[in-house]
Amino acid sequence: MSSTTAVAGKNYLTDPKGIGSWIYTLDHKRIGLLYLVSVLFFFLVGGIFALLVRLELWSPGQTVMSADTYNKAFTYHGTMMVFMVIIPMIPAAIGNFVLPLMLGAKDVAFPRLNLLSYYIFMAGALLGVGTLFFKGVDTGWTFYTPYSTKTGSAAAMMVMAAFVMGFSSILTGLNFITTIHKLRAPGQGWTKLPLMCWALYATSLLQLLATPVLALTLCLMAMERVFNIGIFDPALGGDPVLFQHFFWFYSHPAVYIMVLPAMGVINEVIPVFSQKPIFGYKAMALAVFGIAAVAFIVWGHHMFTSGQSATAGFIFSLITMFVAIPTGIKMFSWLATMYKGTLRFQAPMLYAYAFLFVFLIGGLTGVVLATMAADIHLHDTYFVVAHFHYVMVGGTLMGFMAGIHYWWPKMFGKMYSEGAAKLAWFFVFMGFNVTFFPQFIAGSQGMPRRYYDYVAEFTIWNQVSTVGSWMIGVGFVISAIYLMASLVGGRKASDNPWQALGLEWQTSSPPPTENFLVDPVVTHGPYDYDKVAA
Amino acid sequence: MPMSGGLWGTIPIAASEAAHAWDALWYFLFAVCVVFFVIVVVPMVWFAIAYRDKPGRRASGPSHNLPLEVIWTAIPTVIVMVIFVWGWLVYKKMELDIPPDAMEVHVVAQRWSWSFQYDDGRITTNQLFVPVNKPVKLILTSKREDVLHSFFVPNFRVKKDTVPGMYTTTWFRAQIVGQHQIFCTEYCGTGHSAMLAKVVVLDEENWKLWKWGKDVELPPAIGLGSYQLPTTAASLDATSTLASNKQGTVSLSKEGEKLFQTRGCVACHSGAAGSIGPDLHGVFGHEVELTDGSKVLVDENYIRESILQPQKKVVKGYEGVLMPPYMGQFTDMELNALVSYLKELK
Repeated sequence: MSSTTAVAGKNYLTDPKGIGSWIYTLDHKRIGLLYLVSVLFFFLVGGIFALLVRLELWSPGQTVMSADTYNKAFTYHGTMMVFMVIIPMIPAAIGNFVLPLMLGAKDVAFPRLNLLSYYIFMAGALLGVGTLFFKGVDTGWTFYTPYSTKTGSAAAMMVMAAFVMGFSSILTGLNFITTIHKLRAPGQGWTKLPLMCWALYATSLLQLLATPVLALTLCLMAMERVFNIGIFDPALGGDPVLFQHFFWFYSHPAVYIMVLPAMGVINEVIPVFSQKPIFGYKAMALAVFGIAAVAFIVWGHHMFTSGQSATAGFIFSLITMFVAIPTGIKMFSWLATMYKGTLRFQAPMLYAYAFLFVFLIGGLTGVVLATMAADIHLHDTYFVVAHFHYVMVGGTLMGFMAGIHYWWPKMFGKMYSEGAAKLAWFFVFMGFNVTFFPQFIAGSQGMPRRYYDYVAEFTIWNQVSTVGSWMIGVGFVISAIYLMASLVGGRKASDNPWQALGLEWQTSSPPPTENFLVDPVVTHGPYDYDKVAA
Repeated sequence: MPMSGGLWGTIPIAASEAAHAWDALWYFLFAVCVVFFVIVVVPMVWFAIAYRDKPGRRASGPSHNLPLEVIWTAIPTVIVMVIFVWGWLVYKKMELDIPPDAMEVHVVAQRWSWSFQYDDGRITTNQLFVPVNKPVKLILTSKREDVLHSFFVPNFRVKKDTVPGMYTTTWFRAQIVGQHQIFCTEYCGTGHSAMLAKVVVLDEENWKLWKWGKDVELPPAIGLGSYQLPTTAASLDATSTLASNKQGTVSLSKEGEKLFQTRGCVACHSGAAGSIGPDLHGVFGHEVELTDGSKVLVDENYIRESILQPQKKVVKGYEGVLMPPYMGQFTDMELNALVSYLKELK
């Protein structure tokens, strides 16, 4: 591998120089970093909204803000975290950086489209944030009609923002699929494709096929607001439940857009830190597509109490049960991968462990909620809030943290402080469970979600939860400090600090602009730790 | 009187017939979750200890094992199917198997209060009065110009969205005398978390008193909800002609009949020879054929839709008969009364 080491001092971070070389860059690695910085900024803002929400819920009645302010706080927390953080967090930020490297390619298939996607995303995101200057939005991230067509006009702007960001998602999906098909290194057949790439492939399919439905729905909503055409508003002869069907037709696949890439990251981290081949490669790849396929036909499980017919509920409940099967296969296969491995508990592996633990609880409670009768009592309570935070935060955020700690040395050529990383992990992981586990209990006892005020019986669970939110906050502040410190004073990272077999570790850290000085040829599978010494 | 439910109080007290069936399912789900949690977490901890990287240790172990993979696909499949079937059976009991003798109450939600309309024509706000051990069928809607709400009684495991312009139904048989908390569980804006109410379950004697319009002493709160009704009770359906009828002197179907006579319905729907519109006697609960040959069941929703938007589903033989749409001309409570009347029109 020595021949691929870049000329000293020349890498994608430093060459070329100047602000223009970043904002007009066509380099997938730089675009990945642009996404990363933007997403982390929105994560900070969304996180502050989360802390405000939890602070208000410290005690019943008014604590620090009015009901209307609270409604806006949870709406911004939800919309920002979903559309501006969790959806682009892994595919657009990490995926952009690692996908071409993992394929041994110089860039994605359409570099200009890639840059355009970023700016479309930013345009949408700024439009969304801009609603704050027009009295804000209080609809919740689901925009349910007829509330959303009756409340202030900023709601239309936020809907527009989601519409615009959707296009970014569609274009990125298209770009990734083409890249995976066309730009794999010689020798990298479909069975030698890293599972992260399979996960990004399945995610891209979902983005490409589901997002247009959201766009159409939001268009219909705009037409109703502007031209008074009755589509969703019963006062105009429309049907509000129809909106829920359309919305969840996109937003349920979106949940898998959020979590499949995280599974991809875990697929990379666990074999490396066990120094063992991934267990059941083919089943793992198939499971991702199984989940993606089922994703399209389960949306009605969000609507068991909506007035949807019992027959529809029956079918949606039945199909939803099958999501558990491929998910279970992945869970067990990760365990089997670690069995008799040589496990190293550095930060990426700690986050992979956190992912397994948290996603397990999220998945099991998902089966509970898919059960029609159980959902009648639990729907729209804190049980659901806890469940989807376990899946979306537990899944996506833990996956993201695993990924960012895993590829950080490759991205910046620097190592972070492992001790500080372990400390932060402790706060993030413990804080997460302290925040969200009590919400299962409050929810099954009957506390509805989106409640500004609550009956006194729920006080204790809310206070534990609020303390947990502070722990998560501390964890991320520590993370931000040691990661930024590593950029300035961090130890230089070697090209392959984790002894990994993926192609991205065969080039220098950080990689040169063209990724590989010598075009790589793939001679072994990405997880052949039993055959090849990394 | 126990005040909290099973599993160390993590679920509410079970105060209705269906709640017991729900609880049994819940215990099963809880057990399945605990078992699978242990199956995954115990190996995670064990591997972290036993297979920690040490100098000289080399990784071994299989990279695939077909029998194992078949087992961990097949067993969860069987388990989720059991869960599904059980979940469906309990759902059916909770939502679909409404006893035919159930007492009907119309629920009208608006931002941010609940109104209840009884068969005797009485209307109450934020207090739903029902007798103990008798089935009660709820026919729910939001006011047409309002938003979605959801009617949730944790103690009964009852939850149903109220949708403007549409009826939804659910039912319960309350088993514990007392006041049971009602929450709104579909986000509806500023007053969402203050949209609280109580189901007041009365024993037989008090129920009779209440039916006669006498004052009854309110029974104690059961389980959740130390909450007291706000002194400024939310307004009733003020524009309704029914608002004066709080005492229940005229039954709901009689109110409907009055509307039927005075708002012009009877001119075309009297059922007399030569009537312009279809005869409405005895149609409720039966299927009718439409102009396009399809069939529709005459239920609450169809009656409501045919009043508000009569051209949407026209009965065969009445092509070209242009009944004017009554959208905006009846309040939701008046519509409930009309529906109640047509139901009883044999």
